[in-house]
Amino acid sequence: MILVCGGLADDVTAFVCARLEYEGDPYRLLDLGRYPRDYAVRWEWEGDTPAGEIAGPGWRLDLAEIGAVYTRCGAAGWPSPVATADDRSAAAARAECQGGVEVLLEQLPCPVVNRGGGTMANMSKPFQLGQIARAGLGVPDTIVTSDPEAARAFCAECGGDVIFKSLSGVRSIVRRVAEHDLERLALLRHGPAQFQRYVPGDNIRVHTVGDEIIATRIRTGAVDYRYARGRGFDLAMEPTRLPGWVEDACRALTTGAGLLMAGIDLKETPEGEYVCFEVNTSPGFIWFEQGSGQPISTALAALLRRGAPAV
Amino acid sequence: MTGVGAAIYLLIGHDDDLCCREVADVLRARAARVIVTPEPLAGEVAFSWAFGARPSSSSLRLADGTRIDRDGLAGVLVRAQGGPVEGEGWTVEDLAYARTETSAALVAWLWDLPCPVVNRLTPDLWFGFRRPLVEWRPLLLRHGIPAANGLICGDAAAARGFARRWGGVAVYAPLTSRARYPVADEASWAELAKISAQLPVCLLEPSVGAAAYACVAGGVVVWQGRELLSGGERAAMESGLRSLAAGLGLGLIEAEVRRAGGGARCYGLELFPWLERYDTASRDAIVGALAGSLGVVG
Repeated sequence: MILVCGGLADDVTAFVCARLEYEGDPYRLLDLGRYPRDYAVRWEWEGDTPAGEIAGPGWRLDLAEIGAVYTRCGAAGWPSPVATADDRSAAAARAECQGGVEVLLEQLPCPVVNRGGGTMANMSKPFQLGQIARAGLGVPDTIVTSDPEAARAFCAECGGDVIFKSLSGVRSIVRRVAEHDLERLALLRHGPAQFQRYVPGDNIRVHTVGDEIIATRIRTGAVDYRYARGRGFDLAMEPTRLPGWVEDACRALTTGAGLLMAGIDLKETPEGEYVCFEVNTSPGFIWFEQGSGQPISTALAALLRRGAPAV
Repeated sequence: MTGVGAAIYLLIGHDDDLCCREVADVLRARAARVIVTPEPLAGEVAFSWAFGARPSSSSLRLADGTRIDRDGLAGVLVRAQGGPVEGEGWTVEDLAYARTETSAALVAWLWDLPCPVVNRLTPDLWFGFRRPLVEWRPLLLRHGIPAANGLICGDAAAARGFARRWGGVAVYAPLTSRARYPVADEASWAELAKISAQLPVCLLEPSVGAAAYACVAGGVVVWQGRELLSGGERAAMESGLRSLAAGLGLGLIEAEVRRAGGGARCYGLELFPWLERYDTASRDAIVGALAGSLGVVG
């Protein structure tokens, strides 16, 4: 039995459920938008792995029956289980519920797409760049600095063609550094920021699903393709092929990070080089599936159906 | 005793951190230069780290103009996760964002340093160092460390069933706090039933008596409350804890050990232990071991 763990209000969770339904794969949904209200749980830690059960509306699932898990805990709404006007109490109760589910998923002996431990590298982009380099992929010239002089020198060295982006997992729009941004560099003394040499070329999003590689080429003039259309840029997606060594590096990067599925952001430069920027550990792949017609959710369903060596 | 000459050590921690203070004293006594700051990447320090196609290079420029290159650091002790420390002038949201960003940079930079770092945490530990026992438990068992049994449930009857094994007594241990509450009488069971009606609760098997603490510093195990355990129990714990620290690549961890029905059990693990609970001789042993982990031979 497959366990899907996420909020139905999350498009990706809903899409995975729809795909499993379509493929005829048996699954149970732990709808985190209705947890714990509509569920009964009993998870016991006596041996190496947790034992017990989850009971949902009209069903009961022994933890030992779970063959694979797909989770989007981070994207779930997680309503507070207690009705209170006190925000801190509500947040504490919500954190307590979330903590229990996350501990369970971390320790189930079956494949979990993806375990929380592996996703934590996503909270430090420079750490991820280290993982990427060790996997054999190129990374952009980068400076992390709280020194305005160093930032200014880096911009000059790159001919002014520099982008900045957040260091953490907090989502930010990747932007080119403009002249007026340089005037704000004094603010760096409050904390470091990350600047990267702008890399020209086509964006390529690689979804690794187990051993499978699904690569999508994205053509746009926008710096951050995720926001291209909203900013008046054209955007086109199409399936693409990668050299074998790049595919192997993407697989190594995924498994090395303890993941079964990842969304890897690459660029192919006009010179034919590949540069990798980051790894999304809980990829919202619907947009790419819809844009390119590639069967990402079908590959995910197959992975969950057959299971895989647990990581 | 070997001195370290003009070696420079970075201790990332707050002024009131006894561990930082005492390690700094030991290092300074060996003529080392020691920088103690909770904010190594901002504030008084200008930080710069470049990498990519070129070899990695990084530096800290101190308020007095001194520049310390990556290769100039002899060792780093990590007791805090970066700044900004002062919240004045920040909105709550901006301060949280700034701390998240700095913390993200710091964990990565620590992994880029060639010198000894205590503790060099992986991101899953860095961003989740405060873990409940049930989360540590499988790892503890894998290293031969007995740990208390636990239960998460939203059902008062199941909770009572769990406690029946220990004479109807259990410990309510919220996952997101260090607080623990004995559940032993009808009033406390009624209170627990009210909570479990709203959200699942975590229970642990009960313990007897006070806790002992085992601090593993640089492979040396130092106890506070060693008399609470038998020699055999201590030896088994020490072996497991050394193995665990080595497996995690950490030079400093602390286990909370209590006596339960089946013998000594681990009830918690701390990656930033506070030295205040240890007596002077124990503290000296821990600090000496930490200095050794940082490369000081003494």
